[in-house]
Amino acid sequence: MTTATADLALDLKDVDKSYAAGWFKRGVHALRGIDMHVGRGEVFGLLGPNGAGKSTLIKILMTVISPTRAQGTMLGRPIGEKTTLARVGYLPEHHRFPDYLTGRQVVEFYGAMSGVSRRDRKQRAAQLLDFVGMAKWADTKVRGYSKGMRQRVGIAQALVNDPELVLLDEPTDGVDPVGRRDIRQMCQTLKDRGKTVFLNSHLLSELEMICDRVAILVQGRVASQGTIDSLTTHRQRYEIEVASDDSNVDTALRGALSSWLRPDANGALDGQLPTGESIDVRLDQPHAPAMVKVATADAAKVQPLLDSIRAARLTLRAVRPIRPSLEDLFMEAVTDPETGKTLAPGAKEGA
Amino acid sequence: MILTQTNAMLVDAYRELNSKKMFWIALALSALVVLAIACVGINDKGLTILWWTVSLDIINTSFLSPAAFYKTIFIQFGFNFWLAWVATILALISTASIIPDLVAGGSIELSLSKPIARVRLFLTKYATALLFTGLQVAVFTVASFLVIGLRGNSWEWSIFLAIPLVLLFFSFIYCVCALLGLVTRSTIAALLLTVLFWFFLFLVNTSERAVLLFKLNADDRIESAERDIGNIPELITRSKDRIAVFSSVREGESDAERTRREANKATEEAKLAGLELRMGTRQQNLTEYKATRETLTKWHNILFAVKTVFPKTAETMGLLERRLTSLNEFAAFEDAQEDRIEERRERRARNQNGVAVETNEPSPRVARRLEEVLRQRSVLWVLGTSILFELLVLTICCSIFARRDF
Repeated sequence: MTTATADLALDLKDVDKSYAAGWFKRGVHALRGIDMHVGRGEVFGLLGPNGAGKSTLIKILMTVISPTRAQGTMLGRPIGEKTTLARVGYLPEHHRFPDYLTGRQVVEFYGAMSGVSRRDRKQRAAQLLDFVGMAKWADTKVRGYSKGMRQRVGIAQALVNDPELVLLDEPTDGVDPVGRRDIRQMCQTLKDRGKTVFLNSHLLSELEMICDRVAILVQGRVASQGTIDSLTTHRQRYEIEVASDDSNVDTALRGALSSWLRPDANGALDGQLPTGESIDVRLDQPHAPAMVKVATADAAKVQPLLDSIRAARLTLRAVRPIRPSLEDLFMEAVTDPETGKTLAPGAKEGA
Repeated sequence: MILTQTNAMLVDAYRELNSKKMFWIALALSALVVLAIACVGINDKGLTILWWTVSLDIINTSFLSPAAFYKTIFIQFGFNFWLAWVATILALISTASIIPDLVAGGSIELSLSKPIARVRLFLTKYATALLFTGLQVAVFTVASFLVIGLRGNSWEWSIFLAIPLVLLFFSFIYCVCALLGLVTRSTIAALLLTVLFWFFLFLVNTSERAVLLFKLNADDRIESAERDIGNIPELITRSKDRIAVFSSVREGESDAERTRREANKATEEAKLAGLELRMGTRQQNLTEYKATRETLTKWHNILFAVKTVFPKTAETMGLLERRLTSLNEFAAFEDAQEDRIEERRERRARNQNGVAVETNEPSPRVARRLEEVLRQRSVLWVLGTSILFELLVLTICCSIFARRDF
């Protein structure tokens, strides 16, 4: 094992899953060679539209689904090895706990199933139920719990074996804002304790707040992965807002930027800097200032444009650097570059 | 770790059954049944129910010992009716949901994501269902043992054989329920289809038993016809001899003597004609019986082959009766019963001339022969082939459970 591999909680190579066609269903190629790396001690976010294969990937890691093909390791052991699961915690997306058990019994039962000794699981159950804010309801039957309370107990059971890696599939699903904040804080606490947290969630803003690294899965492939900074740096841009009080702002702005803009074939105003970064001019929005968007994070490259706009005696209302959000990244990943339309949800059919 | 996990699953199964209350309902009903058995007794006059006596001709201590009476009550009512039917249905209702609940979405992910092999997970769940059924049977058997001991003054240790036998009987049916629960993921579907399967076993068993009874009846008739056919020639010879004697005119024979001789001759000739007719009829009967036996043998072989493949639930339960009672033990009681049946049968079978004719009703002799044949079936055949069926079903279950993507 290389040192790099030892530092990784998850090192996935070429994970592939095809569901064979049946009598009444068509075959589905859910995962198409996933390569993914999750470092130890980081909070990793897995994003993707419905049917992208996120839950399938997690289920493969947890041996709930067998892969068609998979290489790589989880906590240094080959994928699919049952004994590794003693060091992993898991909260499934639509989990269903036996409703005849109390919260405490749920945590203790799944602790026992993970091989935790009686004394340890009793002690940990009490600590974890307190950690997830369920100490008061620990001895109430699960059938009386709200969705949020079930999620909290679910997180407690995922941590009962003191795992090195925790996989949480939609942990904030159905949870109110207070609960979501609590769950974010729990993830942060787990990270502080040196645990690796692997999150699958639709709530991009939350992932953005807590994830060190993310991967975007689209139609069974990793569209992009890395730290949020690394993914957004080359997508950063400057937005220049020009006052549009004067009715001649259109002509004046075209004239000021003429050396950078392409011939106006279809009424669109776009062009590029000598270094290749794109320029996009929006003049057609009523009651809104004219907007010049320059696809660069380098302030120096924007200066010639500003000089030209000023020289044309136009008023600059604002110049601001824009860093794309995770949502922008996500939408970019799920948009078909050819048609510009959002890709249909679901995995691709056929092999 | 294995012990911790197994123990956790056992405790969980107990909590699940406890939450359904069915475990305690079944246990309470079992207690009521034992109490009912304890209330019934036997004395020299007939049956006793608490402090009342019901006078009966056959069921009294002259024909049946108290021990044999209680064993019969236990076997026929407690074992063959209560444990084999009612308690089994209650146990099926209680445990049918164990496998569908295990594979239900949201639950199976949690179980499979633990460090436990799939086959062990499935088999442990399966075993917990059997264990709690075994517990029910054990409680009932211990109570019955005490009743037979205290009321019948017979401490019958063999009665504890009921525990493994009922458990095996239940497991033969439950393995199918588990397979159906795994495939359909529905408790109701699994339960209904299992009851259907059980009904199929009942039909096969009843048909096989009925065909065997008719076959043995045909054997009995063939034996009787062959005996007749063997005896009739001798009777014909004797009759012919007597006709010859009656035909010869003796010297000095008076008119009265001649008239009597000729009358005797005529009677004997009529008897001879009857014998010759009977010979023909019996030969025809024999041919018919042999053809019937051939058809019945063919059908019995088919049913027996089907029965060999499937679990032998009735025979499994019958093993306890075989072990606990011998046919001789009930000889006095059965003889008395047989005499009455035979008498009634003959009365019905006689024609107006008082000559015995054949009826289609099997004789008690055939019924006893059937019992002997059933008792002669080896334990290896009864249990061995049934266990093989269960192992096959469990192998299919494990194979599905180990390979399926949930």
